[in-house]
Amino acid sequence: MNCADYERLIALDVEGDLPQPQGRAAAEHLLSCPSCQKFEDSLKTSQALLKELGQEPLGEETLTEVRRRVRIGLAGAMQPEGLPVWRLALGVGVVAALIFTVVTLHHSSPGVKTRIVAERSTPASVAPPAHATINETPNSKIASRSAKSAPAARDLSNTAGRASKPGPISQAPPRVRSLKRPQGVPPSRFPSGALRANAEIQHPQPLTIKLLTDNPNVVIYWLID
Amino acid sequence: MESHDLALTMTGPAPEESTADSAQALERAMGGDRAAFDELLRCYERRVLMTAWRILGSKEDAQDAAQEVFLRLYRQLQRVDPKRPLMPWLYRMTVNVCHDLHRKRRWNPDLRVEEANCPSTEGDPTGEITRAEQKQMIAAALQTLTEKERSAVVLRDIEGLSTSEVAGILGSRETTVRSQISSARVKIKKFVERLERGRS
Repeated sequence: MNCADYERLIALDVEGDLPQPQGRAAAEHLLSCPSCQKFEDSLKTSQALLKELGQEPLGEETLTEVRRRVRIGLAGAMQPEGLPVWRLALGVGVVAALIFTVVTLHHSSPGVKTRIVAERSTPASVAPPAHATINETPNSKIASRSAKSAPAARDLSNTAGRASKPGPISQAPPRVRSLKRPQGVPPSRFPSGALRANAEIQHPQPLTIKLLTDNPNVVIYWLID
Repeated sequence: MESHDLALTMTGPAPEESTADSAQALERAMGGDRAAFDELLRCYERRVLMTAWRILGSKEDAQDAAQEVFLRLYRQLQRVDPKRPLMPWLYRMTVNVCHDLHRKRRWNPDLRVEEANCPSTEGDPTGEITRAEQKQMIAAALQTLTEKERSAVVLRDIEGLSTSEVAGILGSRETTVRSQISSARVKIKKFVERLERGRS
């Protein structure tokens, strides 16, 4: 170890921060090194000054100013954390922005063809998904595109009867179809959709609203519980 | 990073109010008593402000930092454990707030040291350095340190905490803190020597 190494040890030892074995080594070096002795004396002076910095008066006006600012901050509608007011406001804001976007897209730009499709995603074993077209433009191109981008919204006879076959994509716009009883279920146990309605009441599925535009890259989903 | 229990016995200067009193005030403040929060403010403001002043190097910045520390305390009152001393929590918050302020203002410590804090010899024909000027040099030297070195040395040497308490507050190992303190003390000493040589 050279003097530079010992300086770092002395810098700790001068305030008693050095563990004992290293402290002894530093003390032994100090006895035989005038340069490090000078370093230690100088360090003691700067340490004394450093400690005096903590005793300097802050001034009552400085403290008063801090108190005044804190009180103003507390009076300014400060709420302890945990109250969900801001979360509620944020949620309302997001929903309002979404509705505004949908309405603006739908009404203000005649060039943009949009279609809103509402559906409930239900497991196939319980019942086929109900499907209703709310608003539709008479544009076969959009219809075929919507069929590509939303396979669940296709004619359900494809998925129910021959789900394994890819089958041609229907060019006609999707139509509203009546509920079908699954094969193998006796009519008496499936009274015209009552079973499905009952299942939905017990296990409500989220309603999905898709806004399809004529831009294939833009599909807006809105999930409602 | 080693986690440390912040409920340490403080060996530094005694707070203006006893621990029992401040614990009671803290509990009442947690219950929404604004007067009790005011008691806490008066009890701890000096140490928070002093720590911030020495870390930031300016009283005005320290006032901003202290204000933010107490507002954060109010917002996070429910997270503070009233059974533990509040001061370590406040020290940690003060260091964090000072670091945030430091980054936000894109501080240039070199500029402050050279132009603002160093004592001038103009008007003093003897060139003798007074005690007050020496302290000014030390305060300027603090601003040449890295953020971590400055925080460690302020808590250890100015606030008088032990190395283990400083490690707990900064969330560092004791060996790391010792290394930072050692480096800081050597730098401060050398900086002051350079300034004194420049004057003479």
